[in-house]
Amino acid sequence: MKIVFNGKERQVREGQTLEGLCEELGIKPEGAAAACSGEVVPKGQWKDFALKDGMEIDVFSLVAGG
Amino acid sequence: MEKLKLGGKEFDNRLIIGTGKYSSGQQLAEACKASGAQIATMAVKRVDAERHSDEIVKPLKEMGVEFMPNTSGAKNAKEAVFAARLAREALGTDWIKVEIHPDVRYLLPDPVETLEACETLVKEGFKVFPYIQADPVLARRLEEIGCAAVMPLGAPIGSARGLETIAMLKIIIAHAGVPVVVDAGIGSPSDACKALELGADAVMVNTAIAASGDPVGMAGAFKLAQQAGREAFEAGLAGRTETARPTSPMEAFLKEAMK
Repeated sequence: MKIVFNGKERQVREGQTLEGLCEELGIKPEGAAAACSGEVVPKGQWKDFALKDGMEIDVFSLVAGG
Repeated sequence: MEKLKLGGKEFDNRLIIGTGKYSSGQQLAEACKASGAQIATMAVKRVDAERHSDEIVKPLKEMGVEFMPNTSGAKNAKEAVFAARLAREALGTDWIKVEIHPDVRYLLPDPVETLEACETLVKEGFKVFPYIQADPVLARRLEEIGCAAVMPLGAPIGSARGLETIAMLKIIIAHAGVPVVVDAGIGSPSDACKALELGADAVMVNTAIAASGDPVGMAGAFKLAQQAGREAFEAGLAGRTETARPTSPMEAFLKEAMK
């Protein structure tokens, strides 16, 4: 199935979770935040948050800025 | 020097440093240390899975620096509220610097969207620090809705033009019931010193340190400037007059003083 990850289409396996996807991409939960269709998904829910076809997932982190 | 009280916490230094434009995370950490700053801003961005940027959070956290994430990049209230929620989730802080500047040429803050975003975020329990034009009426409105401070600009972000808005900054400082942080435009230690002499509670500095010839050295200069400015304010300036005020005795020396 396909999701939209940070604005780009991405193939993910059936049953993949948000936590699994972040692990796969080397994104550590510390200092990161995720959202599904513009709503924040708290880190405590990543483990059980099952990705579904067509979902819009965005993952953010802190970067330098003034 | 009195402690800075901001967002329910106390600080021994009156600089807030921005973390942009440093050549590395290490240089940022060294400059932060040299400045004595205990508060730092940073932005929230989508993760680039292919390109890992330099770690900035960890070294600052180890130094005990308070994080003030910003909503930079937000074009309206809705985006700013989203960025604030993400920042809270990412860092575990309820501090948020609201920055909404849709105009890319001058990066001037949108007052209407800023007020709207701040109202929502205050209700959601954030400690809200809005970046604003040096507008005393807007500053008052933001204070009334519960913002933790106001952050009026001295000049456009990164412009190093100093306190161009000084007349309005004075009015904001004179009437604010919340801390006033002069943000943006500060180009030199003397600008920071001046803002604090006027009674601003703190100053926010990024480009003036990060883009200087020697950021760590410049950070040290800003540390001295913030202390001088604040101590001058606490001591109370002597004030200006149109005419001279003699500093030596005016009695006759050899003959009668000139009249």
